Amino acid sequence: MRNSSMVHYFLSIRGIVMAIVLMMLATVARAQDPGQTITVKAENATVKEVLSQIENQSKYSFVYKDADIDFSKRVTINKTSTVEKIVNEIFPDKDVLFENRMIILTPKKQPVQKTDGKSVITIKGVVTSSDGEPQIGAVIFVKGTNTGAATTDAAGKYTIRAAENAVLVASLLGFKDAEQKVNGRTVVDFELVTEETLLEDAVVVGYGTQSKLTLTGSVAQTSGRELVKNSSVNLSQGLAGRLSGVIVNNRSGEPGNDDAVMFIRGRSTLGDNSPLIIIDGVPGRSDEFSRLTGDEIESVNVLKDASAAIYGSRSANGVILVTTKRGKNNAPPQVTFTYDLGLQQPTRLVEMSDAILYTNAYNSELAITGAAPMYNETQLKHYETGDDQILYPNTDWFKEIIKNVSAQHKYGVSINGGSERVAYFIQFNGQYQDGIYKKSATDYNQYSIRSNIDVQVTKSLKLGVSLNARQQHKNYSAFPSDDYGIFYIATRSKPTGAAYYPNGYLRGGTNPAVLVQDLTGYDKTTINTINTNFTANWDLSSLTKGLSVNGSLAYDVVGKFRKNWQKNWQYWSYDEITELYEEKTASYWSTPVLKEYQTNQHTLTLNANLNYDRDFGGHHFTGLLGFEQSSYRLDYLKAGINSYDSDILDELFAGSANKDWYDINGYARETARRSYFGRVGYDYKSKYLFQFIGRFDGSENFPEDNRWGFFPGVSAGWRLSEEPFIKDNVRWLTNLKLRASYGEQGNDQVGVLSDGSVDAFQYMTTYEYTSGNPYQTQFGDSDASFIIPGKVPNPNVTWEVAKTWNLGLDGSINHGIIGWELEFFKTKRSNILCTRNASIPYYTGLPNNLPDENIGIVNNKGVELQLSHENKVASGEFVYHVTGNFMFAKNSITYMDETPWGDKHEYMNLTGHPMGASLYYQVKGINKTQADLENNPQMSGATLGDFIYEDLDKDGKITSYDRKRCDLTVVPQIVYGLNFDATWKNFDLSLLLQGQARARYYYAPLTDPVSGNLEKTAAENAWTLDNRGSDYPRLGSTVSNGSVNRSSFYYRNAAFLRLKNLELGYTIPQNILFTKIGVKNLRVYLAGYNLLTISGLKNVDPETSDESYQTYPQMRIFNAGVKLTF
Amino acid sequence: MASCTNDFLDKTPLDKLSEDAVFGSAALAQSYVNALYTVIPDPFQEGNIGAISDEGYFRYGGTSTRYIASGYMTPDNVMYMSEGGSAHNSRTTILNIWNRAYEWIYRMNYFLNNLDRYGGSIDEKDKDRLKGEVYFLRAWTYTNLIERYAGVPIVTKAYSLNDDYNAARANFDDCVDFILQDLEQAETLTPDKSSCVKGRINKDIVMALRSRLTLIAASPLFNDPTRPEGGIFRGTYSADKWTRAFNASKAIVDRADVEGAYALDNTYDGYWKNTDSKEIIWGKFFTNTQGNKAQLFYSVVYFNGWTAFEPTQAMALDYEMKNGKKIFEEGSGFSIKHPYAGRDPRFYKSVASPFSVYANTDNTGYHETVLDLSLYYEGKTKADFAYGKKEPDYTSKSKHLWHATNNMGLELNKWYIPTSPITESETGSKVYPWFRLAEMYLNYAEAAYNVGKEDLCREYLNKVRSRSDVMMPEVTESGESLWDRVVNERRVELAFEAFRYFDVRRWKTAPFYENVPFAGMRTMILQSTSATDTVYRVVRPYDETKNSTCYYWPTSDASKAYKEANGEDVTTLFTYKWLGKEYQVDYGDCCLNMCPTQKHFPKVGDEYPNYLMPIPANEITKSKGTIVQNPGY
Repeated sequence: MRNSSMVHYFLSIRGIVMAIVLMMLATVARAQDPGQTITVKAENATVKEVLSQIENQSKYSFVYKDADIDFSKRVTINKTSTVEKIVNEIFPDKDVLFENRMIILTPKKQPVQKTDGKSVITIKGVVTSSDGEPQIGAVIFVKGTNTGAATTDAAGKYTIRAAENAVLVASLLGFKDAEQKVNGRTVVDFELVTEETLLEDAVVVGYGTQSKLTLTGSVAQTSGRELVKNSSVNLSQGLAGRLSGVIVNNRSGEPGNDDAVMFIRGRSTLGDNSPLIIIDGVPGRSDEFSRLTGDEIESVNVLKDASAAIYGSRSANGVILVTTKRGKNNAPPQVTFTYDLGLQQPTRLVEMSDAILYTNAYNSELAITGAAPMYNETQLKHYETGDDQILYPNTDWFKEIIKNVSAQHKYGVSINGGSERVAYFIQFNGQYQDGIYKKSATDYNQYSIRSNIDVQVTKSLKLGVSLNARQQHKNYSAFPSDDYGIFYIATRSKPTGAAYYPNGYLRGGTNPAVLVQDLTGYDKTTINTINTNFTANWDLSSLTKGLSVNGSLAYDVVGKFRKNWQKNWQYWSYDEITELYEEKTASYWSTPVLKEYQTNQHTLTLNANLNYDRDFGGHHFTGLLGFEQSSYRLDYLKAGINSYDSDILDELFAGSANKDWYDINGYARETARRSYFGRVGYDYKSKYLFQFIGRFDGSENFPEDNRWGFFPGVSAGWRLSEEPFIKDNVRWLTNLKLRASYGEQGNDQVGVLSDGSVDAFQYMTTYEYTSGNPYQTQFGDSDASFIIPGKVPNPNVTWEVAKTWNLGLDGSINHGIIGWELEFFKTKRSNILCTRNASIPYYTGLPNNLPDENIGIVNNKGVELQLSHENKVASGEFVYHVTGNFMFAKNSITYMDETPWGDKHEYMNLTGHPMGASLYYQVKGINKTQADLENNPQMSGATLGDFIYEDLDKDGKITSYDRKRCDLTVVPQIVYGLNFDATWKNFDLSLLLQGQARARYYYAPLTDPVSGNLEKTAAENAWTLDNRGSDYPRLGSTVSNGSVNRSSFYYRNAAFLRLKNLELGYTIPQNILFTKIGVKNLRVYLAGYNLLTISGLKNVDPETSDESYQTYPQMRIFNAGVKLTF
Repeated sequence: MASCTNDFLDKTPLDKLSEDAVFGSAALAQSYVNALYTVIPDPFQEGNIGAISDEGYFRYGGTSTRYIASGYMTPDNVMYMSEGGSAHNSRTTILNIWNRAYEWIYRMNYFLNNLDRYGGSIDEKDKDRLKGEVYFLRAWTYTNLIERYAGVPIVTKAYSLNDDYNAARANFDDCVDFILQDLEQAETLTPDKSSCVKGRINKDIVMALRSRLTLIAASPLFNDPTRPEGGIFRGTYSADKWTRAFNASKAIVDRADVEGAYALDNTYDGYWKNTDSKEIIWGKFFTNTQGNKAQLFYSVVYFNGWTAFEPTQAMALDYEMKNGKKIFEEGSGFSIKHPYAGRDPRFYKSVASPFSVYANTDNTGYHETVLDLSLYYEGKTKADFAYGKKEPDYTSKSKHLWHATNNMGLELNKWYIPTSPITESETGSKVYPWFRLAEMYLNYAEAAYNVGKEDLCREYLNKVRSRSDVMMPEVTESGESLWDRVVNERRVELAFEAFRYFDVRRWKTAPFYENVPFAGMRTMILQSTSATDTVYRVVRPYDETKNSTCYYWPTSDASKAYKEANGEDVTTLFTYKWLGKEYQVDYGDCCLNMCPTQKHFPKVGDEYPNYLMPIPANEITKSKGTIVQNPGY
């Protein structure tokens, strides 16, 4: 019943809509592309010879009935053009249909004879597809008008009134528009040809591409065309909601440090969960990704299942493949200018108390323990009336340090095109992002240039050079924003202090207004990156048909230079008695301090692979055999002088000559990898699909015996829609594919260090010098050096192994009224590298120095669904498509090192729960009366107004054993996105909704008036003697303190739905002026980022993961841009 | 295939050293041992251990230091005092050392067990010296452990990944014996003072630790005649333990008095200002670039310090007048008009009181300022402060700089060096004395008293009192009164040096001292139109209390008034025994009505759990019960 009603529903949609096509997320490069350029040279050749030339170059195979083709015909042609044009030229009498990797030739229907006539007549006809199937919902209209359109019925029939010399257009989504002149006929039938859709598009997989139709793995895609809509200067933030199965969270908005956190299908390991990012085939460019611009990106493909196994030991967390744009042959030069002006502001800032609330709440808090008030009546009155701004200011610190809006600019020029042999894409790009602070010392600048050039050297040899150079400037004040930095202090600064005196003089103390400026010095980093790629593609068809060799050499150089200058600054001090201001000097260090850091990284990646791709009468074989190795070296140098006589010159030579003040350090790191990999594919008539992947990987991260690993992946697919029982019976089901995969992948990220590098030598005992140990001591009269041992060695350390299963069912209805991809996935990660510090007692001396051991097991499973829908309305002038994606992924720890909580405390176990599930005291209520205090078990030190915690182990005391394991974390279990794109006339609209669910954020509100300001809601609602009914805890540093005793009270739902992106564009119609100055296209647009958020969390942005309000907030951006093409 | 790829994949660390290198080179092995010296952090923590005893007050709320002081220490919250949680957690590292100590013991054991496997190029003499240092450091670490936890697991092996972890706590006496064995090894292997650079372990330092260790082991907490049976939590009672302590102390005292190797510094502040002071037996010598933070933590906010530690009135009370009498004794000459005048000279070197001269150095040079911690009341007289009245408004001279940043009315002077700047990057080269001669004298005096040698006890108390810039009158008492003098002399001489917390525990007197009302004293300047009057009032330290309904000090009148009004006794009258007489010290009724005592030494059943530190809860859990908890927790 359910199924038939679904069918009915779809049919009724057919009746309403005019045309529908399945639309996938993005357009990507096509392997078999009717638009691809080929060169055919034939002198009086046979048709077969010409066809073979076309087949070789285009990778298409021709399909025809022998009877339809005249093989005696001789052809002379010498032309470089698109496949489509050439085939049409050779077979002017044939209908040419491109489908999958086939070109289908059928005899053309004879056009109907023309007759004259100008009066309006009634025309009838039938609309069918090329296979003769009547099409419902096709729209028939008179070309050039919007009115009087007709729609075909279930039998494909239509009736329309039109002038007898009119031109009729038949339009149906999934098919190319067809035109016919009426010429007085009363019967005009249309036969529609299937439109190329993304179904036939190629998908970038490891070391090659594959047709979406015959793909057996799980790959999510998006394109540069989509990503340019992201207003943020950080590209990684643009992925949120656009990629099915990818969790993207923006945890901090600080310019230069705002990379999103990405997890593919959630988390599966207790160790490093970050996916491998490969840019233009080169791994090790992970840091580059977020700094690319949408304009230079062709596509982003995410390998989510066994298809990632081709990347072996680094593939377990999934692989993100980024492809940059390249030029097209035989295309005239096209120059594009873009400019975007963005205005940023924080999405949300935690609301803090003002001076009136703060002082009153402080007094009320003191009253609970019988203490005298902190502020007397007179003082309270001063705060209320605000009559004395010198002594009794009332400060909103965020207003004091944050601008209403801050600017960002993005601008770029690109030139692309190509001649017969050379194709080029060249782009220059610049970005500027201001910090949100007033008198901000924070900003981010980036300049990059990319040049991708391909040269067809000979008929069979193609060389490519890709160069990308980028300079990044990250500028900050000497004081950090995060990590006990500006936001930590701004949220804690009391409202009873102030940044400036009423006369504008700067005040002293730890003044946030100082910290955001460059008064304290600066912390600047310049990053210079050069990525180079040299590629060669040698077609060896001359040896064996379908054979080719690819090779590449990539050399990347990254240089980072950081300079940190901390100096003294001037402030004013007011004397209440004399009522005079005195200028003073403040400093964190007694004299200026300069530190410089230089990091140089070199990566050389070599790759060679042999490709084979051939079809033997429907038996299609592909093969890949590859070799890859990479070597990496990092050199680090630090030089600093901790004493300067003056702050006039911030250079090392100007520092103290006393060597005691020197602060120098340096080291190097090297890594090496070597891999052999291969892929074998077979399909029969694109119907039955098989693929095997294998990679043999060696990494220096492990001891010699455990160094090499083998990582296989297998997958299979069955295109049910190609089977007669569907093709002939369920005709509306235009695509249905069942696919499954299984792979074993690795993760070699052992002991990831804070700088992202890997602690590679855990199998041996190592020692290092320590500096900066505050407990250091002197022997004799000189400083001594200190060596401490590193981790306890683990001689058995080796890979993590992920066993990944994937089952998918893809389909589309009527060429895309509705399209879907439904996937079920499961990963069992074992040999997970983790330490045993939860169970090994401290008296062994080991827990702080344990190495990673291959002991953890985690299961992760879930489901993904992508749906798409496309429609054309009103004679094709209004076109829209909608895509939605949804993922649910939940992991569960099968085994990990765990504290032996004991029999009575199973509710504390982590095993069986998701990673990161924490322990929380369960709040039952508030101790509102003395009786509550006496009748409930209490934590040591509890008073009135403190939480009543549940005594889970019923021992009559509240101890750490009364904490319960709670499953949800800041990493959501559900993510979803909904993308809506529409064009109407010259307007275009794009809207992206993104959200997450089953996520929780733990926060520790600021409730201690002694240490600083109070969070507004906590202060307003706090339990006091005058507010005994309150269900909020008392203020003060008590057992209800959220940062010390983590409880369910502060464990809040972080689900949200967010209008991530909204863009409205207008393409200015072609006009005389444009033609005169050569403008091809001019589009202006308005966009917004994070415009609207619906979430139960009101105090902070729901993507925040920081528990103590100390990260730079997420940004909302209003953007205006222009794109001009010549 | 593997063979042809190995060269490419074989990498060596370029940011670390190998074990062969470290254990095969005298210089690198020395550097390894250097690191072991950092095992016990210096007590210059932001939350000074003195703030947990009755010496002082830690002004920052929400911290473990406050928790411990309030008697709320549990096996749970002692964990977040050193792990995870907020930035304040390192503030009591000196107290909760379980994890840290064993981490370093592992490194010591690894060294002792593996040095001989390598060390080809290290000659035997150097090896012996290095081993001697490590034996001492291990003894030092275990002494610090048993002082806090009583019997602990004796670990001499370096555990590895696949061992069974089933150690149990050893008996207290066995721990002491084990430490004494290590000390014997250390004494044999380490050089004499004369052939040893400053800061490195020599035989004298070994003797000094033996003096301290045996004194601890002889003290009532661990050697209790009322609970003579021994075990994990205390030793078996034996009067001989005092003899052992006496002999151990005599050995190091003789090094000074007989051999002249050490002498009391001429000035009381010499041992923290002068790194070459003859009084120092062993110290932590702060480096030029890694200095101590005492200067920053404890100096006044006005000069960019944090005033993290403020001496209490209870502490000030125990400084005698220059004539040797306590302030409440008849004939002491004490005047409330000048409450800090005419005291033991050590008071001024240890404590900064209102209107004393406070000096500092910044980048513009050396400055002297009068330390003004007063509240200013314009147009008010004493009558405005009469009992039961609400406190009048005050006007302060520089509200945000002076009094608002001090609670108790006193500041710490000890450890402070006016000629060094007060900054985050404290770099003035200074010393923290781990062992100094005055302690050895006092250890000796205490042991002498307990073995019945009262003459010797008095002699050594008086030696300490007759330092040339102290010159306090001689102690002449005997019997219990002499014991009072021993106790007070340690309190005053060793003030703010992390002794008091442990002393009142090993003497089992903590319930008395740490349940006293916890008070400070604030100066109030009343400015009538005609004259300026100064009033002192006792305040509780709980908050910045400028508005507490507090009264003049001493407040016996107010106490009487309170009793009349309420029919209850003023429990802030603190009965204080001094030299055989009882005195009542009144801490002011503010403490009575307004707040619970801040210091609290709780009793659970028959036990005072806070005599010993709790073992961290998760250590008990991880050990699956082989490690037992201390009593009362």
